[in-house]
Amino acid sequence: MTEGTVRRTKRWRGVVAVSLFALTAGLLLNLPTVLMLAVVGVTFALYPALTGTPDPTLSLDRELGTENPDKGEAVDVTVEVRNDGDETLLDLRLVDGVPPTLRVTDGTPRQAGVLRPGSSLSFSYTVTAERGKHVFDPATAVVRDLSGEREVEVSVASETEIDCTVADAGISLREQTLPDVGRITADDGGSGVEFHRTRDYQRGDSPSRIDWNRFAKTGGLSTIEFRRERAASVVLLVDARAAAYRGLDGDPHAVAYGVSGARQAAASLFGSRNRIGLAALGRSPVWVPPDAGRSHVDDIEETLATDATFAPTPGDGEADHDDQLAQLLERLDDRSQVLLFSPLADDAAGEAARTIEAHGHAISVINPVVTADDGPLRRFASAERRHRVSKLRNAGIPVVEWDPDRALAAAVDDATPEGTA
Amino acid sequence: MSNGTPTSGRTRRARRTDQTQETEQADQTPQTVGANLRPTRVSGALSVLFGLGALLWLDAGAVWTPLAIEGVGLVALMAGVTLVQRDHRLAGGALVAAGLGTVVGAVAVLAMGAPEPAIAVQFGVGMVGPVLLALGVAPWRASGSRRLVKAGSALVFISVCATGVVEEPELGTLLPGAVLAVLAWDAGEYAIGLGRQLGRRARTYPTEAVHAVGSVAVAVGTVVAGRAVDGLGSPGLPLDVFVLLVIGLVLLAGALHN
Repeated sequence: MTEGTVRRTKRWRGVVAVSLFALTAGLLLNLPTVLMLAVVGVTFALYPALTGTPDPTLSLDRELGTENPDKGEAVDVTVEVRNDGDETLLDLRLVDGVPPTLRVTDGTPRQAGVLRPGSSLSFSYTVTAERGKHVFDPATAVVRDLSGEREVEVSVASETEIDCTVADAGISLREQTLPDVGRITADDGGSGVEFHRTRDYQRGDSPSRIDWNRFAKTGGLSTIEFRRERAASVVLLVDARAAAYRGLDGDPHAVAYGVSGARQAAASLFGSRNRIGLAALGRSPVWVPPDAGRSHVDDIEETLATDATFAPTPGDGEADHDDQLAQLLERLDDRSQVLLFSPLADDAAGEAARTIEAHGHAISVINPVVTADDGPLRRFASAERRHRVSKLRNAGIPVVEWDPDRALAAAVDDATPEGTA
Repeated sequence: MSNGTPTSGRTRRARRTDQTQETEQADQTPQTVGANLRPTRVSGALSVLFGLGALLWLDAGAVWTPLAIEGVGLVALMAGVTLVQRDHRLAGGALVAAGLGTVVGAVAVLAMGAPEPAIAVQFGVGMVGPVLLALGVAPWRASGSRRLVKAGSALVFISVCATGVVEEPELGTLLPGAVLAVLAWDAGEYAIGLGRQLGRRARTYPTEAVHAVGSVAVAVGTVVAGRAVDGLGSPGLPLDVFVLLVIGLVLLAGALHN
């Protein structure tokens, strides 16, 4: 429970005009009865002075029908809000903090009520589960006094999470690897299991790797090399600039999808023992250096869920994104590659991708598709996006177009030709 | 918040057929439910009723019939707008047209039946008020218009003042009319504000009722206080002293809001 913001709505201010009108009319026409109507404005203008500022103390309890639903499953959310203070709340309006990535498919997450001290109010609605972890935001309560002159806005938190995680998003990485053993097969020879090539024997080569069959046939010594398996260091870069807060009415915007995609990618890459980092272009810089391990992935998920840069609404001030990009390039080590989640809503996103590629870091772009093709303006936006995608592909940067209704893995599978993953 | 206008459902479907023919499952996905951020029903209806009530109170004998006809017209108008919102455009549009026609008819009945042209003018202005109120709280699109509500109740109030000038009735007749005009604005503004925050799907009538009770209590207090002041004041006090007193009160009330 946080301290609330008190606002004055000033809704009764205009009623003084009623008095002034009656006063003028009565005076000009010399009619005491009309003049007396000025009383109306006076009493209603005094009304707010009779009511005090509400001081709400609320607590909230959220219950889910199921915490681990399958994709597309309907989850009933029951919210109970209780008045823990000792005054009656005469005008309470509550909007629950539905995760920005989920859609409400039945009922409404909004409720109004009159709450006596100690009593509670409950309501329920249904959301449809999508892949990923979805953390509920705190509910927002607005409490007004009887006259409606003052309103107090508080947020009431209750930790709730819908977990609909997919086992493996199967993110494919480009060939920029680290000298650690991992799932990515590297393009240089050494010890491993897959045959790479044979070459002339050099002193110091292990006898077990000498091709004895060939020695028996030709008498010359040669050494077999195998493909090495190496780990990659991947930085997930989420485009959370104000320009990326785009989406169709009623659907989540691209930043919400970017965050959800980054979560799926982190879970998948963790499974393949790669080192993962997190960065963002947005209102403030975000940097989680690449590392491995369960707790590190938890850190990344925590940052994605709570950092203000990934907030559900765009921020007021925009930071200097060129600066952020320069900072990111300094932080990336030589062997880091980048996975950019961006709706490609403007040219700057593609520009950033090309800059990163130019600095020698392999970059892939996951492009959540939030445009539609109905109506000329939307078709135009959609065409612009496709143009940016093809520009990136021409520059040699792989782009995966991801319809967020599907799992990220499916989109990546479709986009990756057999054998290159 | 993942709540949009009712139109978003259609856009979504359009995008699906364009892009993801391979996912048949998409067609079974339930549609997003919009919050429907339109003015709430109870306070909206109260607003129109208060507006009509103010006029009725002024001179029930002369304007009862036209006001009743106007009431029927406004019900048709608001029902028609609701139908349009639910995608029954033809039926809704017809109902809206019929409602507006009935309101025009009501004004005509008033013009023909009024004993004096001045009375017809004084109520004719007032009768436009409830129409604006109805359009403000049952908007064709968007989430209501505070301006229309303000203009509607202002017209009702002007009609009350005009009655005071034309017929010069007692304060006991005028004051409740003026108070009802303010209540009409209060209820309409409240309906729009609450609708924009919570929408029509939310259960809002308890708070609406409590708010209305509060405002009506102030209204009753105003009428009682007005009569008391009138009873003891006007015969004894000269008009200019009385005017100064009222000016003082208005300034005081204005100062409270700054």
